[in-house]
Amino acid sequence: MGKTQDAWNESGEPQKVRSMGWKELYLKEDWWAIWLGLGIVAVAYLFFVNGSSIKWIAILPPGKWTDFSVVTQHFADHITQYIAQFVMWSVIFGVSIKALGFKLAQFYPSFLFIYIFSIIIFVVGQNKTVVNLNLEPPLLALLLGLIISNFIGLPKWMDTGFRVEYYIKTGIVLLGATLPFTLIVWAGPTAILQASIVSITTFSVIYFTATKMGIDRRLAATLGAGGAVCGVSGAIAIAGAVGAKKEHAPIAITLVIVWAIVMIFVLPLASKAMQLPVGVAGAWIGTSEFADAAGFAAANTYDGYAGQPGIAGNAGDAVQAFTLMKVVGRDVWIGIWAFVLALIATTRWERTPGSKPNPAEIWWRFPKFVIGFLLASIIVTLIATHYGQADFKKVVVPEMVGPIKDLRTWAFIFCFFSIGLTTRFKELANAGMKPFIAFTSGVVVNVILGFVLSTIVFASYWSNMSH
Amino acid sequence: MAQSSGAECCFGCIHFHNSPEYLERIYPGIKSMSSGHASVRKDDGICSLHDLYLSAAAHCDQYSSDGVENG
Repeated sequence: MGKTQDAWNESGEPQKVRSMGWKELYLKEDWWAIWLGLGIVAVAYLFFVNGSSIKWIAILPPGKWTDFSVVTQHFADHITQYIAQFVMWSVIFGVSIKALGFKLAQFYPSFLFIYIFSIIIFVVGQNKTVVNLNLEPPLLALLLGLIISNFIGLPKWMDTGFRVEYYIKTGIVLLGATLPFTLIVWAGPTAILQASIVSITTFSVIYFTATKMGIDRRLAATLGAGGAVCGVSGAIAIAGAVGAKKEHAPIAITLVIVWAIVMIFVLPLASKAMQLPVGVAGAWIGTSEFADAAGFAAANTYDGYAGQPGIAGNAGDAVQAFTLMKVVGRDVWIGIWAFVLALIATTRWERTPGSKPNPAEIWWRFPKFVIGFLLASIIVTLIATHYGQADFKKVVVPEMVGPIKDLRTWAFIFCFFSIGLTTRFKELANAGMKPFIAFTSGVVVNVILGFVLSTIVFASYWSNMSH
Repeated sequence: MAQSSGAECCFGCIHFHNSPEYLERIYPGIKSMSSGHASVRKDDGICSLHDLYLSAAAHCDQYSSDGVENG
């Protein structure tokens, strides 16, 4: 079995991993996000039914503050909880990191760095002056990470702890526990319809603009998937499915990352300027952001503006709307996109004899963490059926759902900080002008169409999610 | 590249490389908003002979076994 931690073996040859099949249950980050996320939900429930709660360990730094002595007193009073929480994260992430083939000797110091700076980011981001500058913790985390990675630099081995996708997938599974399944059923079809309209239109614009400029069809499809379906993950899935040239994926990766980072700042600030309701902004971000991690950063930021003058809706609406639009509306379809494009590539582009792609591709490429997200939602919704609405809010939320949400907040900040720490602009491939034009044409259409659908056509859904 | 219906596919070819660590090293940007360990990537990898990024189930006439049993 050729599984190895290192990219190259002792002879200097690049490594390969044998067919995973069901071994992916412990060799893919998606499954570990499910085990970790559902494990936390299970433990939270066990504590709850035994009259206790995990909230002791799910501690967060203090909310909006002006007097720094409040912060110092908080840490003086709760330092044991922070140490316990760090140990908890270290153990549960450590098990999966080891199974995925990383070196714990690299992970632990790197994760300590992430954890300490996450505390700093939370604290600074909750200062009222900083809040008034619209620098919510997600934006602060991203900015700090970008400054550190691009102007200061860290040893490459520390990337072991900067697992963007793993943290966001774990956070999404935990998010499922705070999202009623009834909401997914109610708003899911609308999200799928809206997301499909935008995805198909954006893909078509990018693909046909690219091919009209003479760009290779495989690169055009890779760019289209990156801009229309699910960002870097979409780009690499389609690149593999259509047999793209080795240099195609990095071109798409560069364009997705650059535009996704731009949108993390532009979408929330533009939404705020237009005083969009929180849920509506979340839906717009869900159609017009490219990657889950980036989109959650933007949606989380906008949730921080809830309650400010002129911004209707509740904190949490943006993340919920974003999740429905991006995860349910776009991410789950990546397997189908990959299968269809592989079919087109092998039957129409290459014209070489051989068997057609296997429909099982749809399952194998399915972003499995979505299963965990849905299961977490179903589990907590079932628990809720045993309580009236008033009791659920008074008892279950503070003792069980609330702490899960707080742990999710940590996972998200780990992710946002890691995005910045791993985005080294000088390492990104040169995209070239034609791919940039093709991709950007899709961005423009995506943003406008997403705005129209979110703020006009389906506005009533996104404005009234809480009800 | 066609999709293989048999055992002689990119997976077992000496020119094919697909470990997550290798891909994250070759494509450094992949870690910023995705991962070499993601489900969507399945077993895709790089063919160093043709300079392609493709499915491990693909095949071509220049297949050359790496001599390792699959599994």
